[in-house]
Amino acid sequence: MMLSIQDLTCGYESGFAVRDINLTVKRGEILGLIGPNGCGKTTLLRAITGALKPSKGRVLLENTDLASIENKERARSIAVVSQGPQFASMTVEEFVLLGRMPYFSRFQFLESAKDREIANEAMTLTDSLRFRDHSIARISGGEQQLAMVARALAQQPKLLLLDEPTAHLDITHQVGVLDLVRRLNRKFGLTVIIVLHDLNLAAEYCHRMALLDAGNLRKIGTPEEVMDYRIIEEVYKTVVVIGKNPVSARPHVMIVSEETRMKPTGTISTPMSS
Amino acid sequence: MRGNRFAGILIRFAALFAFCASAAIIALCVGSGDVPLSRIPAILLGHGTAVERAILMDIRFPRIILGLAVGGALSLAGVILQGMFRNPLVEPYTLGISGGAALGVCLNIVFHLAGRCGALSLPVSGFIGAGAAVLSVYFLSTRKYVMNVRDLLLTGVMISFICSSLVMLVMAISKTEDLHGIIFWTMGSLEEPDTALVTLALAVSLLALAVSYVFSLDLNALGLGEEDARHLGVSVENTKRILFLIVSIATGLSVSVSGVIGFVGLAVPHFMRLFFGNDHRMLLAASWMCGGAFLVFCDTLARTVISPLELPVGVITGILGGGIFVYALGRNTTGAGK
Amino acid sequence: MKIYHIPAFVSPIAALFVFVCLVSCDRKVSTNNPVANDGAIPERIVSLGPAITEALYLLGVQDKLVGCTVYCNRPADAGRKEKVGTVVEMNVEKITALKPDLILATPLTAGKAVAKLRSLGMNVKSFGPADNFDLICEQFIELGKLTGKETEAVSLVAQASNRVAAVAARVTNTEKPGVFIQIGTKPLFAANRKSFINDYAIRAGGMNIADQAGNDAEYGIYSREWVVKKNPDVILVVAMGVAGDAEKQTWEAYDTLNAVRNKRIHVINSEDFCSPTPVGFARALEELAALLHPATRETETGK
Repeated sequence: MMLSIQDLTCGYESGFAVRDINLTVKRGEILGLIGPNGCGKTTLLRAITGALKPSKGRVLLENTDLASIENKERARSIAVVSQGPQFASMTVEEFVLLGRMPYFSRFQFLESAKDREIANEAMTLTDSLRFRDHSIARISGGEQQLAMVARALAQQPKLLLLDEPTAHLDITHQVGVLDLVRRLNRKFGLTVIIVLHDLNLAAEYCHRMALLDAGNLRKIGTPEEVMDYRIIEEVYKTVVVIGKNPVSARPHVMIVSEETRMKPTGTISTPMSS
Repeated sequence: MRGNRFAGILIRFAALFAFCASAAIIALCVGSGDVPLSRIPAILLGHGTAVERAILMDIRFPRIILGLAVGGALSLAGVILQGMFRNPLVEPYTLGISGGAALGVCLNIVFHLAGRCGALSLPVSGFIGAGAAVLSVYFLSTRKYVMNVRDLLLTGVMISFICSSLVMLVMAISKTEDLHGIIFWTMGSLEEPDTALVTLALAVSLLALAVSYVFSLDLNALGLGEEDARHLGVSVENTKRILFLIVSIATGLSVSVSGVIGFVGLAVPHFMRLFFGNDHRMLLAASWMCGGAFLVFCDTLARTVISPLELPVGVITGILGGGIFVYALGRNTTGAGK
Repeated sequence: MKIYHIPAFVSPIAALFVFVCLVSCDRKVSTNNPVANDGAIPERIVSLGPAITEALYLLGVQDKLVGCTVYCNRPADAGRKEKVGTVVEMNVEKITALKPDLILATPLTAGKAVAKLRSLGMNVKSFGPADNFDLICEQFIELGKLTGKETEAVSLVAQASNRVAAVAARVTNTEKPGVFIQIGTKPLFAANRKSFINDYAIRAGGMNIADQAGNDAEYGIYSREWVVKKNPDVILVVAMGVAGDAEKQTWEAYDTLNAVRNKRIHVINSEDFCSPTPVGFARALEELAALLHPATRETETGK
């Protein structure tokens, strides 16, 4: 067991965004967090990163309560790839080197040769060596994501969290980043939790998926179990057809547009009217 | 390639050091006392007349030390605040420190405390005033132990306004001699008769520089945003608090001893970013040195331009600093972060 | 903030405070001592105020004057002396280079400059504020003692006192007009009880309407409404040139004022009036008395 979330209820002053969540993340798996906008995926992620303190329940990292782990120590086990874009004025190399900060001693502020070596390795793995001297703010969105994954790798984490990494990317880069994540998962046994809004990408890359709906955990299981049209239609409140990706045999969601929903008699039916 | 970059940094720091040294040397050699240049080495070795030695060592030298201390402290405070707030318009006085110090000094002058408690009570009142202002700004913008950076700025500006208005109120009902005293203190001056105070200012300024280095990398991380910095293991709240403390003490002491000298804390960090980029591990020391040298240089100008009259040093720093700021902003197209 | 954060915040501040207090015990006086001070008659004097400069000329020690302020231009010869700063801000270096053995400061001189000069071991005599004629005379005599011209000082003071007494005699039994003495325009600054300008008004046989009990500031800001209510008989605008005339015109709009109806708004040259020596005071007083009580005007015997 890598991560265990028990009876977690937490949120903001205006109300609880997630309630009574119970889920376990297995070591070495890629878990996808999906759900409609405002369902609490980001809140759940923030509870895991420690940015939000739970009002009820707890999060255990390898049997240790996260609340008892100091910030720096947590950063050695959990690395976060946040959404872009980045605006800071530093080179990609300096950006990746920041990932070594959790390993610096109290008064240290210069990196050692070993730190530089690890950063180089991270950049090699993510194919970001070629723009190591460019400013992080000036490279493309896809390249920024690669740099962010490199920084996360430099932290040498056990658990990698990604918050909608594909949000601003075109399909080439979406596939690029996710392929990289899967490669890292296979090669190093890195446990991954990834928040995705695109159901098909989630189905394609995740071992298991957790579907959230208005703060509750609606369903957790393999993509086949979760991508059942009744469940998807209920949570997303729209009409869908679940098919199969012809190459990978993973479930594939297909939308049903308004026109195609029109019955032959000319009246329109929507799931909202039922 | 790494070697080249390192060499480049070394050269730039050497140039900066040369700037510091030349500002100090010029300040030592120039003044209304008309000490001929050729005699200066002799005087430094102890061979000059008592008057010449007094002018060089008791009048010009303390001003140079204080200039370095105050210029360094203000620039350091500026670069730290700009890093913490990710806002290029922030300077040490934005937190209400100058307003509070001015009010403290104002009240001291008007109640004639210097006569009763000794001349040292003036900078102490300034420091207490600065501290009061800063603490109120801190408490007003901290909710549930979280220091809200945006609220800090707004509250600081408001407290500044309130203090300035109170100062003007006191000025309106005060006596002429007191009035002059308040106005000239506000304009800023590096003339400080108490050498112990000058030494203290230098010690605190250097201490602030040393302590801030522990957080230099944290400042780099904060440039990515507070959330990202936390992901990297930075104790964001703790770091913000300690940096805030460093800035408050360094600025508060500087303002108490030498009055309000503006623009140094705003312009120098921007100018240094043109040469050293945004890495705080270099920026902190560079800003300190450049700020000190800049203030010493401005002070030399202030006391020689319309000799024997002295312009308030804040006038020169304002004009030169403002010009530098505009220039630096024009050149720095990437800006200082978000 | 947790409770233990408060000491964390306060203790460095407190420590600094304590350090500063401790450090204040060690006050060094420079060992360079540029000018020896043995109580003899000073040979090189620096004056930091126009009134003092004028007084030195009256006492006949102008040859010993080696430096004065840029505002010291009476008499004309003072304009040729070395300048060391304005009335408030001094150039300490310049003063030191002149090697003075006596420096005369006014209440307006910046405290830091005085402290700095003293810490260099120089002899600085700081004069306090002179609110009235008697104090002006006292300070003049003290200046005479310092420069070794006590007899001359006493005699000049006697002459001035006689002139002042003569004016007082002329105006004792006259009706005292209400006077408003304005010294600034925006805002409207006027002389209160504790200024020597008030002394002028009283000795010239007038009553300062701004004489408010309990107001310790020498000058205060007043509103025109208040002045109109108090309705002074005479308004004196102490200013120079154009500013004074413009202010006079402003007052003339308020035609309910006695001063306006009787055309008794006078613009007075501030240089004559302010920063007086005893002699200057007497002269200005005679002028003022003539303005307030035109009927008692006599031919001046010497100006």
